[in-house]
Amino acid sequence: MASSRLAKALFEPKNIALIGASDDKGRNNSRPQQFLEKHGYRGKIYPINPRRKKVYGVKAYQSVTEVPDRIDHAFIMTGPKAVPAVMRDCAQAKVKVATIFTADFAESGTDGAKLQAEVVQEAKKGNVRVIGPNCMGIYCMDPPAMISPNTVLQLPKIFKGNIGVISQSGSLTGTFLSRGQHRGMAFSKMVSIGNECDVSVAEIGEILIKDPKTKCILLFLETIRHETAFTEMVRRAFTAKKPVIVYKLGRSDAAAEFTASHTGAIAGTDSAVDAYFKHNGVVRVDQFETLLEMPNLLIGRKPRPGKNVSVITTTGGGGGMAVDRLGVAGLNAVPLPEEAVARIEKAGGLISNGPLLDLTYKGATTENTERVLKEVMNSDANDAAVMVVGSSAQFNPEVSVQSLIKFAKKAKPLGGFLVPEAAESGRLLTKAGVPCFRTPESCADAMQSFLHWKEPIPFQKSPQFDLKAARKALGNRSDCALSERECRTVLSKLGIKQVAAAFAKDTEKAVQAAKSVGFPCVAKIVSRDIPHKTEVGGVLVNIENSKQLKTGVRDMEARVSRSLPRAKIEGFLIQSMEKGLAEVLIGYRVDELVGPTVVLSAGGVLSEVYGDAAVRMAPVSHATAYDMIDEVKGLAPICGYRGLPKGDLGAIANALVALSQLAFIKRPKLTEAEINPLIVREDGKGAVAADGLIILK
Amino acid sequence: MPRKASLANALFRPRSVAMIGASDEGRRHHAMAPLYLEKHGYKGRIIPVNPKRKKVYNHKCYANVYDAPGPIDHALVMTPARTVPAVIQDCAKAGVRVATIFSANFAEAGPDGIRLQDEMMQIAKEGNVRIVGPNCMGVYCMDPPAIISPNRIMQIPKIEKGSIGVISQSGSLTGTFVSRGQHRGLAFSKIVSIGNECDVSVPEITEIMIDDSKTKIILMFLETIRDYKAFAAAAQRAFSENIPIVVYKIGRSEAAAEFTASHTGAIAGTDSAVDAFFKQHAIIRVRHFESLFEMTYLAMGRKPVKNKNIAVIASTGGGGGMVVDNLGINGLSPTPLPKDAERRIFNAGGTFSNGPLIDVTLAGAYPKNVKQILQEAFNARNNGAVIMTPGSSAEFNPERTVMPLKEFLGHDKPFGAALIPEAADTARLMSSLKIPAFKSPESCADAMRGFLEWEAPRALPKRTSVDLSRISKAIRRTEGSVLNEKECQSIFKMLGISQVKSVFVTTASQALSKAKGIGFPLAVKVVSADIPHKTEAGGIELEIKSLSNLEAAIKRIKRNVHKALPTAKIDGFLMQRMETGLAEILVGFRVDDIVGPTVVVGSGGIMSEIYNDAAVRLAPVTKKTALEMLHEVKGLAPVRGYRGLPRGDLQAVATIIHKLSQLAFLVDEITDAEINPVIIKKRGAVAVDGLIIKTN
Repeated sequence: MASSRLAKALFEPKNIALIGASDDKGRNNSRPQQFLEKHGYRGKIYPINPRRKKVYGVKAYQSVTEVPDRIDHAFIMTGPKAVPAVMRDCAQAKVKVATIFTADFAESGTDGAKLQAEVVQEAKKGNVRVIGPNCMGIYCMDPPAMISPNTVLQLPKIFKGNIGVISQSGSLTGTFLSRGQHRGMAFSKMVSIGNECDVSVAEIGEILIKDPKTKCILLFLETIRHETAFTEMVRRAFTAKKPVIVYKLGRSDAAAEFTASHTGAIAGTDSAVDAYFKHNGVVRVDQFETLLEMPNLLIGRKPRPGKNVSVITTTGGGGGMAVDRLGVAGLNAVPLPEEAVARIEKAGGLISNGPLLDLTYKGATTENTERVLKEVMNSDANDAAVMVVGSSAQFNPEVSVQSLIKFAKKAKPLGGFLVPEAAESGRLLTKAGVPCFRTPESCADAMQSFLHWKEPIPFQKSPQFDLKAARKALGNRSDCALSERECRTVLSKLGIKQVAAAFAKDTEKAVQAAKSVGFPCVAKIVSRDIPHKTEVGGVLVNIENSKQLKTGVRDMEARVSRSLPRAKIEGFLIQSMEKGLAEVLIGYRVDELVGPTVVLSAGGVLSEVYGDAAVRMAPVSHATAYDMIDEVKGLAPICGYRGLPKGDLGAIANALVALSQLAFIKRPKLTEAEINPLIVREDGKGAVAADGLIILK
Repeated sequence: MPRKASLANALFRPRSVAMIGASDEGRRHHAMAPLYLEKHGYKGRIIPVNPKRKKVYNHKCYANVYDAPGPIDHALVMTPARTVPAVIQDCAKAGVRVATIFSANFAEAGPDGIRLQDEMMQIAKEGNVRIVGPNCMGVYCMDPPAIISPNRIMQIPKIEKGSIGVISQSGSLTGTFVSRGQHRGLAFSKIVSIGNECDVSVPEITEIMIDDSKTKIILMFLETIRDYKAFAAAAQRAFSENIPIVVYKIGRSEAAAEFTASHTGAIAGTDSAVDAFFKQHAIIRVRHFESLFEMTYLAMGRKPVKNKNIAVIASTGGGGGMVVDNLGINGLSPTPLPKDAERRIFNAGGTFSNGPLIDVTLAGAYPKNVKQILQEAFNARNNGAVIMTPGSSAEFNPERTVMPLKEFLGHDKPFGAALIPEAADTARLMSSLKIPAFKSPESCADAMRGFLEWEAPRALPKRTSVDLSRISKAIRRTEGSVLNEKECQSIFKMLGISQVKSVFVTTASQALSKAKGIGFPLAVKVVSADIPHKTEAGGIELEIKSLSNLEAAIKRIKRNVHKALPTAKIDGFLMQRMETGLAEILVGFRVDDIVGPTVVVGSGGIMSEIYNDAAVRLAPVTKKTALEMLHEVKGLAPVRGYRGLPRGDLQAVATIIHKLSQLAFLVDEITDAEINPVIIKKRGAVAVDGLIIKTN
């Protein structure tokens, strides 16, 4: 079905069938009919209920198949077991779209998943598009069509506005309306997407992008389904200047997978999700209230990355809280330049300049406030500004917000943080397009999210890599780890420099190999069956001569065979013992939710303890690789901290870029690839991979 | 002569209030204060003082406060700063008990203001007038009403009386407390804007509030702590009187204010010392401003609980998910109902999904089911607190939302509700029942964290086994402000800290003859009070394996030092055995500017600085507390046995921390001391290098 047809049936249906409707007040299935009427739906409503003749005075039908009209939109509220049959009727009646409120499907276990599959199958037979199941319905504000039993629709009036909402939580659609309208926000369309058995967040997103009434899209997500379509949608939204703002659960989840390598343990999945949103121009907020405060910060604006914020205040304590919180969020509250202060004073104004631009003493007149705001907005010293409004916000809404409204349309955002409970001022600001913050915490979160917003990063192939050769070296097996020897081949095809090494089948050959790489050397067991060599005593370091090597290798073989009797030992890898300034870990990992990522962290157990890693979507450019190096705190010692010798950062970046090219290889499917450690030498002297691991799906 | 009122009475129940600088013209502060006082029902005498008027509103106005008939218990001073000393002089003459100074431009405005404030204080002391402020927004007592303030918040129709006391170092925020608080249905007993605290202090008001039968909890907004000893004493008393203290303090993001010679300050940051102070004295600190309000009914009347797990019951999956996620971010554990409880619920025909979120969305959201699940959650031993997360119903059916929780009023287990929709009426209804209402998942989680981290105060050890007078004497014998390594070693020895084997020598030949007693490999370090950073000056040689190496090393040191610091006087050399262990850590002692003596433990090397990974406590510490610190430092995971790595002798390190912390008894002599590194071995731990800075 073309998206415009789906959009019409969803949001502007000529008629709606309410399947399972009743007029038993207090029950969920009694409400949609009332809400539709109350909020001004103009089309026809067909209650469907075999046990009733009439529902709220409207003729009821036994089945949707008996309705004389062709139905645009069916809203299903029956028990779960009845839904497949209901859907069969919908298919037969050529219903265009069916929204399933009923729960107890895929979200509640295997039986539910089976039932859901059955419903989808029935729907497909008649080309019925399905929203849900387990969803709270569809709200279109203009022309009004509130197809939902959500009690929030008891609100006297639902205002029409320009914010679109898609929520994976049904009940939260009510919260958007309740909190939003209280703040003076208004919505264009709102969709509770439920289990996404057919119509997805991405598809609704595409409709909202095309909808001229929608200027901004808010998402409440628990997961990301259909990642490819989702990515395309959010990128298109960016191009269409419709910012996508998301609140996603899952920040505190312990890494879900226990992966064979340690990359997963360090990166955690949530950091991959973060990287994904940043990569694709989506703004993710940490606090729920921030989600409601973001639209006015983003609508009509382009990204302007930075970290300097001017904070103007009429209340010392409130301003102090804002400055403190911005600092916690990694932003700087900056003073005005001296010449700006001079101009203000020359014009008879007054300000106490500093991280807090304080108007408290004498300065809080409208005239002086506007003079200061003008200087702030014209200054290059800041990237954004916040005005902290004290008691006046509560009792003189017009006065305190007027000045702010004058700057509502500037490229540089100016928000207002209202310190007292000042709902009326908040609504005035919001309606005028000024970002309005209710707490110092959400203010800082919003500013931080805005100043970290960037345009989507293009996905470009780099011609310098011979991906064909790398693909060939990966072979065509699946569900296994490559041996270290095989890994070395793949890495070398990607152009990643490695420690000098030679493979030896047995002890005798090992001695010869050692002579070619030189003492001191390292000996490692080679086997596809042993991804973690150290744990089974399969690595020997600092071998100084042939005699040590011989006995060492023999003992090692015996030790490994004892602990893993079934592992097939192919031989030994003899490597030269390399020393550098530092060791780092570089990982490539295909995240379950968001796809290929790269991870960088400092080597050793501490970066794991501190969770200190940088994650980006793969592939990465050199510039992004340098960003990652900057981000990893544990790499400070080789980045010139306290005058320590600098490491070859360029070589780290090269290795990251090279490893990230694995994202272009579709077959065989990789789960992860890891270099641990990459030994980093002094600046100009390169970096070499000392150990690698590749796992195929 | 009428009886002089106590400070508490004069502040909050004054028989008369003089308003100095009052007028009835315009809408500025001096015109509003008398109106507000009257409007909110003050029953005593209002005495405007202003030489330019005969009357202010309907009150007779006096040219001078001492012209008015006494007694005058309380004066609100609103005249310009420069006139205030004379005004206070007049107050003294009039026998005013307490003067609250609204006027600003005192100590907060720079050196001139400080002088003016000192001058005024001198006069106040001589005249026996107590001072609140200056630069403050006034004093609000709700019952009997005495709202002595020009704050515009007083435009609101009614100030409700309640049981929350507030002390704020920000004046304008007193208005925010009333505004946000009343909107939530919270009401206050007394609010004090304390201003510059030049006389009456936060602890003194705290003591008064503890004694006030109407105040059941104290909320504070702080920018600094001015008298930590009095503050600590007041906090301890508050705890024993069952009056919780909840604090929002700004300063989390401040880069460490001082740049000390040692690195302890750089690592610990002052804010972590403040955290340690609050924790030690059972003061609950919140990170979200809204949590300050929400903590009221979570903490009021309760004591700290042992079980830190939380049962989260939701009738909105998304809302419950947000609460659970945020609790997790705050290090708390949302906990399922026990298996037997689950069985009982299902046997009774109930519906829910058990897990970190106890979910009753839609199908399970009927009263009988919710009631049974709540009952099981309250009975369960595997949680210490219960949070209910109602959905849309909270917006339109306050009664129905609150009903299931009402049953548990008075229950020992703390509980509250996180409101997902706006639901202001429900929040107010809950407040009227003294049930905490959380307005956002973030503030909910922060409040729960603050509450569950709350512990009874720990008294600081008052005695020490260390011979203090001997150490004092030794320190007084030293010259300069920084002790040299030899002097440090002898102080550490007197403290009983085990140190690496070492010997001090003055010449190269002496070094050669004594090297055997130390054993190879060894290290040599220059000893000189003129060289604080030995490494940078080339004054350290490591891994010396033989006598000939030793001779060459000493020569090199002499040469390096001479080149780097030609004027430095070399006192000699310290030879130390090269110790290797499992890990190195830093142990520091530091007298913090605002909370006094502290100890800091960080993992060694520059990594602890980079990760800002340190544990801080008020000093002195017991060995038990020291062990707790060692478990707090993330970077010490390896010596705690992480991933099967060999464990270090934490007991031995704890002993060193405990001993170094005894310097808290010597704050008049020592301001900073640091051992960096302490080497942790499988058996034992030794101090290798140290630094001590004297109090000047």
